[in-house]
Amino acid sequence: MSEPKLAVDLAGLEMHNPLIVASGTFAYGEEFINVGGFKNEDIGAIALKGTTLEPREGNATPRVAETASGMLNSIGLQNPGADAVVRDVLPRLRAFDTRLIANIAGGTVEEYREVARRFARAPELDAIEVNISCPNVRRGGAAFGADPTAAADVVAAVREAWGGPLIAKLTPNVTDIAPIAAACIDAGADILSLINTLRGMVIDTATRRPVLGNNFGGLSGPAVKPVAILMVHQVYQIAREKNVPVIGMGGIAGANDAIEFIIAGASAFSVGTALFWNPSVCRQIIDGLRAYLIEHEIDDVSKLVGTLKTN
Amino acid sequence: MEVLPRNTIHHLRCPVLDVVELEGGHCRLRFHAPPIARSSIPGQFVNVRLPGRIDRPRAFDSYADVVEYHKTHPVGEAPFLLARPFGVHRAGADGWVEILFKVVGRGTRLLAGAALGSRLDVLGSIGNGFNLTQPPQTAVLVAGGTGIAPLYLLAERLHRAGSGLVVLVGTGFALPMTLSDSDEVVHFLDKDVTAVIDEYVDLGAVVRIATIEPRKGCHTGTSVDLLSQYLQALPPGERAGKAIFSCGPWAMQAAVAGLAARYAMPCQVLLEERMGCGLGACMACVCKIRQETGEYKYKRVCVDGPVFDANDVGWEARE
Ligand SMILES: Cc1cc2nc3c(=O)[nH]c(=O)nc-3n(C[C@H](O)[C@H](O)[C@H](O)COP(=O)(O)OP(=O)(O)OC[C@H]3O[C@@H](n4cnc5c(N)ncnc54)[C@H](O)[C@@H]3O)c2cc1C
Ligand SMILES: Cc1cc2nc3c(=O)[nH]c(=O)nc-3n(C[C@H](O)[C@H](O)[C@H](O)COP(=O)(O)O)c2cc1C
Ligand code: FES
Repeated sequence: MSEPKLAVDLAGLEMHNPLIVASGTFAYGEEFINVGGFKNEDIGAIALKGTTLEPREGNATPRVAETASGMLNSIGLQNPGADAVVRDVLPRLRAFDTRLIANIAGGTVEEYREVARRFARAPELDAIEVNISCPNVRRGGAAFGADPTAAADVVAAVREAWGGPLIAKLTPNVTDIAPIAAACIDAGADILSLINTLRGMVIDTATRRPVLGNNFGGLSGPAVKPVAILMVHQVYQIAREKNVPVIGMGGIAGANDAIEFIIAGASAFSVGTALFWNPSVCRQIIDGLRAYLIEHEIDDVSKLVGTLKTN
Repeated sequence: MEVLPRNTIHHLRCPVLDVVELEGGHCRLRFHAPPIARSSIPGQFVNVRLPGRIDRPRAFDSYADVVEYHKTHPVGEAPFLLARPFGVHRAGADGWVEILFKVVGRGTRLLAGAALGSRLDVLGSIGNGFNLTQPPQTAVLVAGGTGIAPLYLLAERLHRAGSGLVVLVGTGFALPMTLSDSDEVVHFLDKDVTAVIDEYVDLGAVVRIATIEPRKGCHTGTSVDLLSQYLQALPPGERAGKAIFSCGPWAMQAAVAGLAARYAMPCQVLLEERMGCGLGACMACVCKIRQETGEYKYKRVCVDGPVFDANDVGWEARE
């Protein structure tokens, strides 16, 4: 069989392969290139660190805690603010032949809209991902993404400011993800990505204090993968009817994990935490994916999407 | 944000060459990693992960033996584990790197039990090491606990650069190095404080040890006490040409920084913080550092450090 096609086109976000590095695990794209053998060009797209309107200092340390098969983080969105990213960081990233996705965060609908406006002026960006897991400061800190109306408000506000591919990143910290996915699509999202981290806590029994400076944090890594696979499967049922592609993530550490997500309905997938313990994982996943497609005589990765046969 | 050109960080599968259990639950582990051995500078660290284990009935005779074994015995699947950071303790011209650590939890326990010939997943060397552009006439190395591990490579390099060495070590438990008794009396301590560490004495260093529990030949107290007495006894005219290098727990280093400031001595500290990526990408390992504007900002210990000027660290920001 000839070389299978790995390039994908997600609602205008064209990538030479379906691997995206997850927001918050790759800073602004200039760190992993210091690792011998690592090339940003091997990646389909980079989701940049979550960015707010003003610079944010982030949470107190410790900011990470290892858990069984995963880790908790409570970075607290430390970032230099949208203007600094647009002015100082994005121009440098032109050097890399890969797609760039801004990831935006905020405490109010207006903040999201304003960050999107700043990013809309940056010619370097190929897509914007809206992280709707952030607490809504006007609603006692409940996440925007936990309520269909609030989620739709945020997506609609960003939609007004940005005409390119718009990704709504869903939170798994909900009872039913389907109505939220539907609300985001109706509000103008072109693509859905999921999952963000699951909330959790680790306690140091010697001191009876939470290990994280922020008390609680978000769980990621292989521990969350089965949760993520099911949610991608559920969201895919809704998204495919409206022709909206899904980006799957949560615990991908090897090619087989990525393939599971694709079968469940993901047109592309993101790798985050696994990069921390294996910076060479991207190459390994792409090689493994290619080998799988050849073995199963599939000439285009897109033909594998959503091919799950339920019992 | 300016980008500084950084050294290549190597991601390697490194065969374990030797694991030695030492006093007080310490362990010295040697692995084969020529690019890291060649490029490591004192104060840099390696991020180590144990990807899996193989059972091996006997020790390997040589590296070639290890390679041969691995052709037929692939390493098994990995348990999930974040990498553990360790300062480079020693490095050999023939390509080995050593770390020296205390077993404190799951990761260090796994490492201490690593089978000879099994492969560690290693990233290194990482971070800005000690600034040695102007080696001091006399370097005063202050170590708390396992802080002696990364300071050894520094002592070696400083010794080679012609610096005199004073090594002040505080320990709450047994030391993972060779203790013996010196017949030399140092002017800044009581005459019965005579215990020394051979590895440092071999580099021509004046060495003294403090222990929390009374112990023969050691000062009862901390490494900060030793430094305080050393500095008190130092005539002000002799401060020039001396510099302090420190590694150990936060509270100890805060006290060292306080003394350095009081005596107006240059002081570099190696900090520890919990890490995610070890590459500067996740913002987990931050610490408050004073900027040129005078403002304190979170900087990454992994790539902006782990060595900082003691004057710039926001010591109060953490208990
Ligand atoms: C730059 C640097 C250099 C270091 N050099 C040495 C050395 O030469 N010798 C030595 O004995 N120790 C050193 N440490 C500390 C060493 O990293 C920890 O003791 C080790 O990570 C503990 O792992 P564990 O799984 O056994 O402990 P656990 O407590 O089970 O670890 C849980 C998590 O917390 C992290 N963690 C726990 N303690 C520390 C700590 N003190 N610093 C950073 N992360 C921690 C672990 O990496 C892990 O992710 C260094 C730390 C840093 C940051
Ligand atoms: C340290 C860290 C920081 C993160 N920061 C962000 C962020 O700023 N914005 C965001 O949308 N997701 C963020 N995430 C979530 C990841 O993008 C991803 O959704 C999640 O970690 C699940 O994937 P993984 O298991 O492959 O890491 C972060 C995750 C980690 C581990
Ligand atoms: S450990 Fe990730 S930035 Fe330092």
